[in-house]
Amino acid sequence: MGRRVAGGQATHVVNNRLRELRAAQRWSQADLADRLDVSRQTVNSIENGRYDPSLPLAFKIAQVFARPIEEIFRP
Amino acid sequence: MDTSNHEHRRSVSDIARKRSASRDLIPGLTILIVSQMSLISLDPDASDGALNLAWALSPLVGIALLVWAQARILARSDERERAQELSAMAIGFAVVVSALAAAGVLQGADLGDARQQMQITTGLGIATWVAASLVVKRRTS
Repeated sequence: MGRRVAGGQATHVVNNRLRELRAAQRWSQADLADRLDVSRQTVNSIENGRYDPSLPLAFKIAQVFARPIEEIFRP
Repeated sequence: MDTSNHEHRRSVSDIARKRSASRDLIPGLTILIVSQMSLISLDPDASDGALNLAWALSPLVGIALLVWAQARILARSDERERAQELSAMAIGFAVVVSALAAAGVLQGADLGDARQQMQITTGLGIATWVAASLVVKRRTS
């Protein structure tokens, strides 16, 4: 199951390991955003569970971390 | 390298997108402001020759350039930003259509000034778009 993150008053379920994988690479959110060609805010939103990426972006994330998509995103 | 969640450095693509957006918006905004200011201060008679007519219609050039700039900004934005912006535009559009319908009804009943109602509709649409954009961004960012 995903972990819950409080953002303001809302609580979001994080069903991905993006933050953990990014930290393992010692990348900042901006570094990852540049690799994915998205804004830093988008990386932050995905990490906090506020935004679910499209399938093409999810595949790009998997490609950047060289891992299968199901290792990064959980249902 | 800082990997904390609280770092707010923008990515290289963020900076490039912001710069391109400013570059695209400046010509339209400049033309719109200059043409509107000149029309307000000098008030040309549009029926007095082709030059005055062109001058009276000159804000349309600025508006067309702003629409072009907005289309380019949307095309450059990432999927989350595009979804946010399109949601806000849809809400703004709904308000404009409703206001236009109301203005049509008022005009049908010979109530109010049509020009003023168009100005109110435009202002209301833009204000709603901006407000909806802020609300949507707050919810999904």
